[in-house]
Amino acid sequence: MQELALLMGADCVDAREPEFARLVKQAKAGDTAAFEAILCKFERKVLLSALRLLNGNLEDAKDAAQQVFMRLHRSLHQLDENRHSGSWLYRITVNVCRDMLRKRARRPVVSLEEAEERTAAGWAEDAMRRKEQMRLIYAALATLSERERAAIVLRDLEGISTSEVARILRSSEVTVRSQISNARVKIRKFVDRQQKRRL
Amino acid sequence: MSCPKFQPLIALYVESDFAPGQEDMVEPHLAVCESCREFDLKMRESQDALKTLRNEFVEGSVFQDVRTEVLRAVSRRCPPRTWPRYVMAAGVALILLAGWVWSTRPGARLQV
Repeated sequence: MQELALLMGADCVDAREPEFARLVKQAKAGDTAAFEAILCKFERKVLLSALRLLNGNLEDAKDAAQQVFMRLHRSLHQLDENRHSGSWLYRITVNVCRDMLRKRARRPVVSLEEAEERTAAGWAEDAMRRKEQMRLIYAALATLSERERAAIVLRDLEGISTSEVARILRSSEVTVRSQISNARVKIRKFVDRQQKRRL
Repeated sequence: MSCPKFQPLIALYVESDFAPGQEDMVEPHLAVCESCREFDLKMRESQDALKTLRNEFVEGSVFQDVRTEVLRAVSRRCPPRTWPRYVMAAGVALILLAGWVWSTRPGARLQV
């Protein structure tokens, strides 16, 4: 909770748990300022998760975040103000991103050759090591299946426990562990191939 | 090359993601297998690289854009489908009042 508060922008309300319950109650009654405060509380997590699930495409991530918060607004009356809504929002974010990838007829799984070409081109253009690394990792994430990507983003980038990831993805812990393991091995092998290409 | 059977286990081992009881499977093997030790090191490297995305910087204006768009769309929509309690209470009171006025109107008892 403290981490969330720290992540929030300076112009956002510092919402702690009791404060959050109050905000949800007010938002349910139609208070737009309260809804804005809730939005502030979660916007960073929702947008960054969407960015990672959508292979680093910021415009798509913005669209996804908007859709997630519109769904939140539509579902306010169902929201239990005494329960933490983070997991619910992660689930909606994963679903919205999956739908976006499908609707736009983008292939969620990029072929290895395509992803490798993408990073090779990137290296020539961008000299910054950090950016290169991020591009490489986004390219690696793009080679994963939707489920693997969702599992690895939630576990390794959002730092959520395996059991919680399983709840968010409505899956079993065994399945999620297997997806995480496969995803890590695939990423490692992708990085290996890229490093060999560079030599 | 590391042992293919151990790769998925090492992938979980590097982040302590084992299910209970699985922890003891990898360490004895790592102690005797050099190629798997190398894979373990490389796996840790790629995990570190993956986690660089955690530090990705996104301009504050991006969040502001999202917030503005959402609030604009929300303001165009009707308010959430929940009736504040006082509106419901006022409705009930109005119905009761109408009933009382109806029952006490002149001539109401005569009809009975």
